[in-house]
Amino acid sequence: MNAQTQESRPAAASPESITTAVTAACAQIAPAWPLDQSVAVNPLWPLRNLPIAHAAARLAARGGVRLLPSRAEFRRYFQQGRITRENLAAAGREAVPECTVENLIAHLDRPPATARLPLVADQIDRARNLTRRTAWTEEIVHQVSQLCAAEFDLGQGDWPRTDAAGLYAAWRYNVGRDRGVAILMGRLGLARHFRALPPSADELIQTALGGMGVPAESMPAYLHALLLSVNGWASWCAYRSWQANLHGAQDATLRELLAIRLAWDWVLYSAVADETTRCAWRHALTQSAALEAGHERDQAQDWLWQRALELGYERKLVHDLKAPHAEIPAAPRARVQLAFCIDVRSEVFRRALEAEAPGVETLGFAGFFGVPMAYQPFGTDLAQPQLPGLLAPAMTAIERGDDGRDGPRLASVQNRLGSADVARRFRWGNTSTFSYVEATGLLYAVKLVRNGLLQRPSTHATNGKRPADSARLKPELRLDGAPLPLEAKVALAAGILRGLSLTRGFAPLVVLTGHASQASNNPQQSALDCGACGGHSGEVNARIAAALLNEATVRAGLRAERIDIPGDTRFIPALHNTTTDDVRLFDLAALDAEGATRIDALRGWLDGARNRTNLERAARLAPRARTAAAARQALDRRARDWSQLRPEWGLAGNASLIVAQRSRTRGLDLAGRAFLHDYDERQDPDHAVLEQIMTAPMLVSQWINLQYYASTVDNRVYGSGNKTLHNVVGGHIGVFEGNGGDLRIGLSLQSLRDGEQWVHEPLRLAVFIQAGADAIAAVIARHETLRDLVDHHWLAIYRIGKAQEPIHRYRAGRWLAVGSP
Amino acid sequence: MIDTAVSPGAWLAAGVPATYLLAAVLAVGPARARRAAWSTTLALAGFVLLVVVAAGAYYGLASPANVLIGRLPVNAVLGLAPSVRLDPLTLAMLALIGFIGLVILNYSRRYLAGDPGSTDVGQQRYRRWFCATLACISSMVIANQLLVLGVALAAASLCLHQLLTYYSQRPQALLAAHKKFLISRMADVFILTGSTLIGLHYGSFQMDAVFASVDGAAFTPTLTVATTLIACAAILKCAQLPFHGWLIQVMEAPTPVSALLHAGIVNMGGFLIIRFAPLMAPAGLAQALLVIAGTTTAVLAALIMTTRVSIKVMLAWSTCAQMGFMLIECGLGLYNLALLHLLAHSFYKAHSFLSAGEMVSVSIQRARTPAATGMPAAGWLAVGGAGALVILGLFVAGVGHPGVFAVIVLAVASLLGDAAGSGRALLGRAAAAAVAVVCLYLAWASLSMLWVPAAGSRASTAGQVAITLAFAALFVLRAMLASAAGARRLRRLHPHVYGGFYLDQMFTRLTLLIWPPRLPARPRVASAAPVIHEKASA
Repeated sequence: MNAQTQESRPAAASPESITTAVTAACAQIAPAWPLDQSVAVNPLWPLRNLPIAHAAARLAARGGVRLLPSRAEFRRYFQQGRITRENLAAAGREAVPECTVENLIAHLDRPPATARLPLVADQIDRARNLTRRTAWTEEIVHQVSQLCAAEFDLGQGDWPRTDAAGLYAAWRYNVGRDRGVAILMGRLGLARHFRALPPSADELIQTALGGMGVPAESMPAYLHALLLSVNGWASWCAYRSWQANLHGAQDATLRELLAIRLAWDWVLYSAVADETTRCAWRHALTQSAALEAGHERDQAQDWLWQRALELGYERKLVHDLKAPHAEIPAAPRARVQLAFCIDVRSEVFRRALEAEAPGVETLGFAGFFGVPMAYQPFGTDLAQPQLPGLLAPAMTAIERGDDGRDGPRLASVQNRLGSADVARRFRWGNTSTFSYVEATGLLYAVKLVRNGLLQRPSTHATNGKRPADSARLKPELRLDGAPLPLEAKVALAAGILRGLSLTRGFAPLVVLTGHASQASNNPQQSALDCGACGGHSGEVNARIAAALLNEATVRAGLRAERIDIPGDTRFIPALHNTTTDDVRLFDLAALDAEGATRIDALRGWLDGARNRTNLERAARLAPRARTAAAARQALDRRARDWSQLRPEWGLAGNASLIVAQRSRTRGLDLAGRAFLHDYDERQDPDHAVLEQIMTAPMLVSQWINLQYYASTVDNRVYGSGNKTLHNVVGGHIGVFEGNGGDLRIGLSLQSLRDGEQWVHEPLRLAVFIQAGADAIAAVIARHETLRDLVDHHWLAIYRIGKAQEPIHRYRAGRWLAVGSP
Repeated sequence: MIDTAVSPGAWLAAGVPATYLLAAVLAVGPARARRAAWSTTLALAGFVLLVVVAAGAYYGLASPANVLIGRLPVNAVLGLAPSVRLDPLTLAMLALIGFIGLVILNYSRRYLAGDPGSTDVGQQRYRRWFCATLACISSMVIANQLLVLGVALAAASLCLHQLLTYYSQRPQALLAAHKKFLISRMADVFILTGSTLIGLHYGSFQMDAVFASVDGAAFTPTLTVATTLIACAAILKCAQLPFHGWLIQVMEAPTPVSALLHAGIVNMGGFLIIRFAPLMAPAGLAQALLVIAGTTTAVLAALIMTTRVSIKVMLAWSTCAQMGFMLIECGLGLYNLALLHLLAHSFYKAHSFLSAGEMVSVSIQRARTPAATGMPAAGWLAVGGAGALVILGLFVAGVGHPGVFAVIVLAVASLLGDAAGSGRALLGRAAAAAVAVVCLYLAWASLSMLWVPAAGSRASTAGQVAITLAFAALFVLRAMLASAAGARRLRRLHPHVYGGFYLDQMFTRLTLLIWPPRLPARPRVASAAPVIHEKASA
């Protein structure tokens, strides 16, 4: 065999190398959570071990993804003055000293590179007239997507699944019989080819890759490209595998999905493509590395523009943080302390509350309050995690009545749930649906009036409880079915307080404020809820944590840990409604008269803070509301409106995380763009809390930040498109945009863009930490994940020193002082 | 006996389309004017609804005749002058259009505000075409001249086309709209030809004149052809199999467009038949065609509906099935029930689409519900047997139309079967619900008789039996699917049901071959490899 033929037809890869390549390809897909718990996910998390510019080039070459704002967008920022020449010059200096501003500006005129690795389907489509027919790629995605939705269905259909042999087997059974695509594409012989496919996914992968002669060095790129062509369902399969891993199990569904997509390519290769197409495709495969390198060169200057955009934000923040506005006058004891979630929406409210009531202190903490639990509503069958997606729940919160009438209550709840289900089956059953419509259809006119003209939302008690039940039920923690032992309670309580940096100086009232959004008819509502609580309301976590910290025995145990909570201190749970900025307080029953007075005062402050926050938020949501009352009315209406696709802006705009004492940021207007986590190094001599913050809340913030980033820069792949077209799939798996197509993940355009422009600025997270330089560096050095994120420019870490001291940026193991603008 | 009176007051009805037309042409200028245009539109739509409801009340209490006709003071050949018709059907339809139109416009305004997929100006275009569609539909409803009716229906479809292609960059949106375009034009040709034949046969295009001279005993071949054409048009307009694909795929337009289409426009096939009732009742072939198409579609679409994976597509299949059921009622001459179905389905489907986002809550509630034990096969057999006995009784006693009543018996049977499988506590509730459903149904059915009389004709026993058997088969499948074991038996059926029996794929394939749409260009995959152009596939 001479060198010439060897180059055009390389030897087939070994089975072992194929298995390795398959595993590697599957490991590059990040999970996507279902709609009822849509935790923010960094869709690029699996690529963190690559420099971001390299990862971007790889995704561009394999999936046509763009991980940067478009050049037109950069131009807009430049013309608006959002990116200045100084920013550009500074960004250039950071990277390539010889790069001039003029060069960078000229770069925006060049069209971006768009070449990518074709799949067999792409190669065939290239020679077809797509203005007059549908594309193979579209039909394949549709077929795979519909099958996945049917297989994974979580509550849409009523046709029970019968085989548990796995996704690939189900697909093979279906595709060998379903004539749909064959008829549509005019290829009636296809079913024969499908029926001849090997029975297992692994065999198929080996056979197909061998049959098409995919060379070993192109395999990682090709397999990854296959997965990127069905990225939505691939992410869903990755979620299954993520959950399995959390519970110490394995899940191979993603590999089966890869096999399915590969099978399509193989069938097209052997039954549809002619020899010229095959040749062209095989040749294109060998170009994958060159493509990647080409994209990296092409995008190099875009990354400088991106950095300039970030500098524009960071410089100002650096300046503000260096000169704290108001060192807190050392008040002997705050009247109330309120802990909020680190969520950027809390910043606006905290600022308003502090302005309203100077005697109030606010703190920032992950909104699940450090309670790693799942929550199972009374009488129901489903326990849902109430903690960040990175963790597995260790305990369960159940509910118990305080009146000893749980027996009848259980019957009532289950009866209501059961009736609702029978009613649903009556409504949608194939024989009964006709009579249902004739008998009850006219009554829907009343519902249309209520929802559509009077703007009253439908009330869904999805847990079967009546309001009277909810008032009586209290959440309780269970560990393996039994109440928590005292030591565990004390450890949990100590962890919460240390995490909050609140181990001394307790106010008489300490309010633990979870948060939730309020919206109507919004399938993606959970993305607006508390991400730290698994995309749910933080209410249960706050109630559990407050009850724990109020327990006398727990407090006695805490004293042994040298945390002395004064006898007159009460912890109160609360819920911050991020849409209307109403704060509800819970579990106030056992308060004495003095406590009640304090609560009254607090309610007044909260109401004042709500007015201020309403006005601030209304500027972007209801610009015509100029008074606090009008703003409140407008926001309340949006929260109840079933036709409102943008009840609030969520975490749009998020750009930084500040880990410091509030005194450092109090008085600063951070514009709802900063996550705030309290940290006091003096209370953390061994830096255990710092390590915890940098490995948990910081990662959660980074996930949120990159979810917004990725959904903004490439909404086609990492966002869910236009909400006006959203079509809920599989009960609560996710959404389609329109009829079908791939499962859509990430944020909708409505969460990122108004009618004219992007509201979210895609900036990588800037983390500011007030702690010793060596302590921070030591934590980074200890954790590979952190090294990856920092060294590969997925986020930036800054250190805040004492007031007026320069702020330093961590780069490659060194601290560089940052100049002010 | 229907008594008809000529009354200039009937021309007031023309105010409805005129008002919508006014809203459609409202001047649009700077942002301020655009906001005002929305508010004015909503005010006008609200005004229309109020007037129609008031007129309905007045008519119900103090009408001088069943049908009021407004004529122009001209004497045109063949009665070609436009005229309006105000009768219970007109009023019911106007109230429906006024109400649904107002609700959906109100919804659209906020739904599309700040839409990232369109501009402010695009939304004004949307508002205008929406109002224009309402104007056309209401013109059709009040028309008393046959050709005006046909032209208004065609115009409504053309206006709707603009809404369906609101996102004109989406290939699937254009493909679905294109299919609808072809089917609608076919239907338009049928209606206009049918109307012309009727007009020429009776020497007048005025509906009242035509209906007054219908003689069931003297049904000529021309009339048979004309009524059959109209029945075919209704079948096409109601998206019956295999012409249903576009109805399922218009999820490529914003939700309120789907709501308008599924709650308003697709019903117009049913309206057409109810409007032509005096002519259709004696038309045996047309009636049979409606029953056959309706039954086939109702049964198959209801079955396919249960396999759908997304909420909006399931709702669309449900519409398809419901339209089939409405056409069965039309074909049996039960025009009162057909109108009831039309109205009830409109409200129901408008609400279902507009609140489709609640699906996540519904599905979470389902996931939280403790698993039902399910009823054993013997139980289903007992329930089914009891249902069969009742239906047999209906046939023997010859009560009303047993074919249609059988459906509600089967519905009740499946309700009781499901409840029994979910525990004894629920059975009592379900029985109460069943009684309530039957009573409600009978109440609506008898009220509807006051509004639109059923035709005197009676369908053949064979037809009734066929309908009953078709729905009974559906019940059997339903009972089998209540258990995993039953579903296993039906496994071979699943891929075909799931594929919608490939009817739409065939239709789409033919469309692409014969008259393909122009789809937006999609970016081709460029690779570093040299591009080789040649024919890869036929």
